[in-house]
Amino acid sequence: MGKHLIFVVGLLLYGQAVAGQVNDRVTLVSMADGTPLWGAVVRSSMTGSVQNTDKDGRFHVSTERRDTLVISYVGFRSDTLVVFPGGVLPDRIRLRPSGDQLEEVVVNTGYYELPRERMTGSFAHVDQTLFDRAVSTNVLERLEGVVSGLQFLNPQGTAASDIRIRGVATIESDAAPLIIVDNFPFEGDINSLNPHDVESVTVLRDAAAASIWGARAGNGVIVINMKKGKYGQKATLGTSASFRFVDRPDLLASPKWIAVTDVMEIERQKYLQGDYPDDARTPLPLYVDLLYRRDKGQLSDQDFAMEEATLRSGDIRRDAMKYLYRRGLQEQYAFNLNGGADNYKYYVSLGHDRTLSSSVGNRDSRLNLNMQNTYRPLKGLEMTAGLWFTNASGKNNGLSISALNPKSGTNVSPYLRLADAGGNALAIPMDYSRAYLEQSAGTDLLDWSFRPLEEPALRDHRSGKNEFRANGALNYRMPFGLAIGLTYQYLQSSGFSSRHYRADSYYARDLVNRFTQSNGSRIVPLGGVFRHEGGSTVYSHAGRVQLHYDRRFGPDHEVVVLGGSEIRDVLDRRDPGFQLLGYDEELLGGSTLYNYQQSYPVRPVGNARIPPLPVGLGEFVDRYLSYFGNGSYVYRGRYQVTGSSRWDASNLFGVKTNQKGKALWSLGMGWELSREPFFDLPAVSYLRIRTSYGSSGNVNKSVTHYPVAVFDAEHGTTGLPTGSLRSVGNPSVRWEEIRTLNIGIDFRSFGNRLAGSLEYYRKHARDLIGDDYLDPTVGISSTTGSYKINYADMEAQGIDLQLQAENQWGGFQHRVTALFSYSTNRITHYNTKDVLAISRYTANTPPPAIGISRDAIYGLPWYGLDGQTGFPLIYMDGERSTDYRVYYEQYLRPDNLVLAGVSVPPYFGSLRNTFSYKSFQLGVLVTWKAGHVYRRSSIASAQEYSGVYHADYYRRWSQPGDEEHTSVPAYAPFSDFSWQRNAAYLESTALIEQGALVRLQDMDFSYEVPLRGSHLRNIRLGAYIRDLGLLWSRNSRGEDPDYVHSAYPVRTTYALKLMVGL
Amino acid sequence: MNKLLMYKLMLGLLFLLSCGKEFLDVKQDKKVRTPTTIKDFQSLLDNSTGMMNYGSCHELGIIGSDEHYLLDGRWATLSAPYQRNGYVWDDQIYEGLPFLEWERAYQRILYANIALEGARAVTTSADEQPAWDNLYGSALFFRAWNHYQLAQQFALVYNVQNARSDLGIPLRLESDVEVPVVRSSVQETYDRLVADLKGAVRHLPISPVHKFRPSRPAAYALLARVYMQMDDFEAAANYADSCIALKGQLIDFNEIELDRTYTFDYDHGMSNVEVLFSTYLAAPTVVHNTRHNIDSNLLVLYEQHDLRYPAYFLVRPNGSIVFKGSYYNSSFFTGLAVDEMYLVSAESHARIGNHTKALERINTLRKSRINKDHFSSVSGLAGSALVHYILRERRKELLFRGTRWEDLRRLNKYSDSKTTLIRQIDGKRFELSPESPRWVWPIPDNVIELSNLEQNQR
Repeated sequence: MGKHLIFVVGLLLYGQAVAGQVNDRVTLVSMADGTPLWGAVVRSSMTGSVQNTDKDGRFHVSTERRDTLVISYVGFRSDTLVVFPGGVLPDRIRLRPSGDQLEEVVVNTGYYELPRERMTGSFAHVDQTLFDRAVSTNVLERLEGVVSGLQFLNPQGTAASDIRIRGVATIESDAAPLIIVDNFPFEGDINSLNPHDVESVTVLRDAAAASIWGARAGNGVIVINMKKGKYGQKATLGTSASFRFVDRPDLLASPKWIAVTDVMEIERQKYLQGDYPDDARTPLPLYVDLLYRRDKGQLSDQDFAMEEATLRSGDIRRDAMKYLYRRGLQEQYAFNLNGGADNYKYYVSLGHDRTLSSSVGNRDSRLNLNMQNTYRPLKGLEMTAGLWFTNASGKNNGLSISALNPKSGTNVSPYLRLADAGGNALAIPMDYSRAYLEQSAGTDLLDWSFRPLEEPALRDHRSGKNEFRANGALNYRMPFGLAIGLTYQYLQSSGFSSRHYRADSYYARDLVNRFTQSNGSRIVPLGGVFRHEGGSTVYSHAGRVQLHYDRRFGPDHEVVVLGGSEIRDVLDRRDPGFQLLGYDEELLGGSTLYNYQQSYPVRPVGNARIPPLPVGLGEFVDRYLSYFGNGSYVYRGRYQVTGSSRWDASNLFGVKTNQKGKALWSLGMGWELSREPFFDLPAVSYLRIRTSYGSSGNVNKSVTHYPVAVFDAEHGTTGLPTGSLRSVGNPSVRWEEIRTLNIGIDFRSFGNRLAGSLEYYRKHARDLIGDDYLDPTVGISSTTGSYKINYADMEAQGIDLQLQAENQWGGFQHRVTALFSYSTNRITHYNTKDVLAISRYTANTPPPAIGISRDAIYGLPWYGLDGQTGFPLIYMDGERSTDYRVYYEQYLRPDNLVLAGVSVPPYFGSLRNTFSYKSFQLGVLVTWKAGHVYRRSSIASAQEYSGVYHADYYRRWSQPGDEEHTSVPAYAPFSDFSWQRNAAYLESTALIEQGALVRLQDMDFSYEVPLRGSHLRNIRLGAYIRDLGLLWSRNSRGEDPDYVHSAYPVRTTYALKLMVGL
Repeated sequence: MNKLLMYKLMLGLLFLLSCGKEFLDVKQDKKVRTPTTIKDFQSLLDNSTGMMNYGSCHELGIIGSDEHYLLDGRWATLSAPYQRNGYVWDDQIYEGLPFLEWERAYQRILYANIALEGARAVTTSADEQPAWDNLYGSALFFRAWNHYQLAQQFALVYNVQNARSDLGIPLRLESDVEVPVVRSSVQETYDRLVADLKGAVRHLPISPVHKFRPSRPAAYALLARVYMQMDDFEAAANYADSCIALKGQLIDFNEIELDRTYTFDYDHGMSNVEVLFSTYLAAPTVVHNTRHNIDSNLLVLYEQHDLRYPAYFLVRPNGSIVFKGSYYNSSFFTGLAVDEMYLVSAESHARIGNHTKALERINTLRKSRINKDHFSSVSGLAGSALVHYILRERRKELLFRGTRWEDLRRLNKYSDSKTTLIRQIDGKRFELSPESPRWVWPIPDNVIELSNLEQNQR
């Protein structure tokens, strides 16, 4: 709901008004082109009565009594008209087109604001209505499924690195888009922003849009515009509260478990083969321990049978769901006050969020404060100052199911119990054998058992973050069209984390016990352990000087030119932590004075040093200096030419590069055909084609331009200081360059009921950083050395289509927005070392190769299972073989692998339906993706003996003929474990599945409470449900490809929201 | 007002322009250190056991020479292709794998070049002059030392008639990795060795802080070696004598314990008066003392009271005789030592007709090696008989130092000292005749592929 209030303030301003007027007509027109809007809905807040504007855009207004008229028209921002008895009405109301649609949008690139129709670049805009439909504490999360060409690599991602804008155009460098907040690159934590302070988001997708951001814009730019006050607007107060629930995780749905009885049988067999060492350091599974005790005669057959039966009925997943997890709750409260006078405007906000995570013991909270003031002392001069403060803190004391896995590296035995019938915490094996712990009981040692349920209360792990941002701006606009602006921003963001293990925690008891000497003396004192794990602080200064000139020359020529320079300095300092042993939280006692060099005898065996904290000192400085310019010329309102250029220098680059100073640039053209006199398509009200070409960059901080050595103060044998060269440096290192061609068509037709845009883009990324092959004769080892230079190339291309249709029957409105994107990429030049092991190709990020997508997934060829043995069939040069070792380690070359597809969907999009009737609105967002594959998990032969369980255990080949309907290899005894044979299955195409899916992403519902005679501006109730599950999936396995490796499937979240405006 | 703001703006822009250079000179990661001072560059050259003095480029020469042989059945078990193929001087040596010795030698040359360029760039105060001299001289020495070793493996032996057209090794004289790799001629290779070493002599101290560091006597010693390869015996004698004049003390084998597992201490040569400059090589599998056997033709050369026999050899329980006399204890000593200089001096004087001087040198060395109760000076030898006597002494003295391969190549130039090497493996016979091109090892496959160099003939 727009808050652009039109006040009718009476006689003072409108001298021509006639007092006592009770009825009048007002014309509703589009702000974009002044055309009357036919069929808009005008609803009285007092009476709830609804009228539609006529074909001339006119509607009736009664000024008999106080009323607030809510005017809405699809494709435009809603507006309100406040009517006072005896007030004066304006002749016309200009409705502003709304943001996420294809109509006129004012786009903010971070440097300038212009209506989209004057620009030639590719922008995607998310306006406030669209942004606010989701309920979340994170800003970026709300963009999923609603921005054309923007793709989340990890569903539910919250960081910039989870996002791809129009594919990927780098190999080794950072592929995350650049985030701009308040006109500067954001160096803080994106999680510190309060979504309630966000007004809109603009995504810059092509060169004409993004190249003004220069060397870091190659991956696309996300510009986040924060809310500001408005001149001449009465103070308004907005409050909102929302509650978001998330279901308890369903551990039972994960495929990575098998039945308790089967696990017990596997453990028994392994025991019978003597594969469990009976020593102190082996945390024997409970069942194996029973077997040992029975066989040693410590346990009668009868007792054994009883204990065994108890185990059989256990299921640790149910216990974990009951005791370690809960339903999560996120509460958000926000409050803002904004308004302004003629020469003054302000925006003040306060936000508080609290999250109880679904892991018992984990909780977060965040406090946001924000204050902005703008003062206009004289005409043309504007001064702005803003302050933001965020405090975030978290407690991370929870235990996940994986924290129950014993340290020996296997999975937790599923029959274990976390609590007895009375709810008392039970111990489970973790580091040591039960026999050893029993034997140490009653000595000088502390109780040494691990009882997971008690742990959350015995820990106090915290993390915290404080972020402070201040900015100031001075703008002066001269009458003849020239404006100058000075902007400065300071950001300081510091975070820390600490771990406190109370004296009774397992960690503290274990540490004390391990270091208790044979004579009973203690190296580690009794008490808690407090580890302050260090912190980091980012200090960022950014300043900009900008000249802006815009002027019309006669009726036909319109020029906008801007230019300036920008300087930024970002210091990231990492501080070391400290550790207090014998910590007493009451007295804050404890000591840091321990000998970390000394190696002590430890229990059960061996020697060890007291675990130290890593020395986390570090200092990183990023400096940028840039000059930029941008201009546009519009002729007769329908021909647009734009251009931009930018020159970047940085301390990341060598002197050579900075001296050369290659400029990044763009050119664009637009032509609004529908404004041509010859244009004669009555159904099409708007048609524009535009194209742009230009370059932007990307930096890689891991490559240095100077030689780098590490030094040692004293050589072990000579005693002389020594140094070794880590990198010879590359004096020519420079930014990667991405050239983008974009062609787009925008249209509206059928009385604007159908609108859309279609864009094609092609990116050519050059000078990409990659490992070069070097002749070792230059002094760089071919095996251990590496020399990275800007030489690799890749291409990406794709299509973004956005369509929007709307219909209206009386008070009922329906709008549908469809997004379709296609994006593909291909490496065109890269030197791949061909001596790489095959396992590198089947890993998550395979080595880049020419002609292949950056997102390639390779698999070993799959020929099915051998009908006799049930093991994978393999062929070497056409010959059947069973020598899996030779096959995997020597025979297989990258050429023999099957390129199974890509991991990132090349086709993706969404369908969003919005229904509104009177004050009700319902939105349904369905997202889809297609054309990609994923590697699922399974179990290979004898893997169960290493504690790997999977439901495929039950689909194993067991007799000849099974190979017809299963690909899961046969059972093998523990002694016959072959990882190469397992790789022939696990890394093969047998486990690669099609990933196409359609997901019911979310639903939102809102109800605007009719207000009669109230002092309230508005009341809105909302509900939001996210992650309602898959509607369709290409694979028939019943698994969600996006969450196939998670410990549990995605859970639905439910949110309720209340907003009250004053 | 307008004008004032304009001025301010212009000033602002100018300010950004002018502060640019310093502003951008800051290092991104403070922990990362770029070597800039004399101490930094010296530290690179003092990376002894990690880089500069370890794994010297002698392996193929040691593998291919006639000091040792393998028993039947042991050859086929060798897993490293260059060891298996190198032992029989095969066509293919590396089978496509990178050859680390080549890479390490050129890595050391890169270190030396970085140090050299660094030394040229720093400004020094008077009291830093000795440190600077040592740095500069050491960098030149290390570059020459590694180029020399490479030339003995991968370039044709120096032959004054063809040296300008024969293929030498790629010389790396700049640290810039973008400078193309090209092969020099043999003449250019040796000219560069001489120039670098003569430069080093002027800056190096007589006594180094550690024997991992180059010194003036070491530079003289290497010059003597280089000139001997170039058949310039006058110069060789001159530099060997210069070396002996500075450091000429020999170990008297009568004074040392001979029945130790390894005769000489593991102290990098620090206590060994003969060691001038210490580099070493971990014995490759094929010549490891659990596997190798000393050539019986070599063993028969030792006289009855030659103390080198008990000092150098150990009879294993299975009857095989293995080497235990390295100046680097259990690793092979591949550096420079005084005993070699006596041999160089003797041979060079003999070849230029200074028989008296030659006999004096060889007798001094023998006196420290033969049981004192049975020692008698040799006399009366002259001409080629004297040269051959000295060469025999040389063969008995310098074992597993990498010098044997260099000597075999050099001596094949003279009609009276050509050698054919023979290997017998499981009944199969391999031969390396004096005229064979296989006295030059092939350049590693990946180097040929990446730099398109001309490969050595096989």
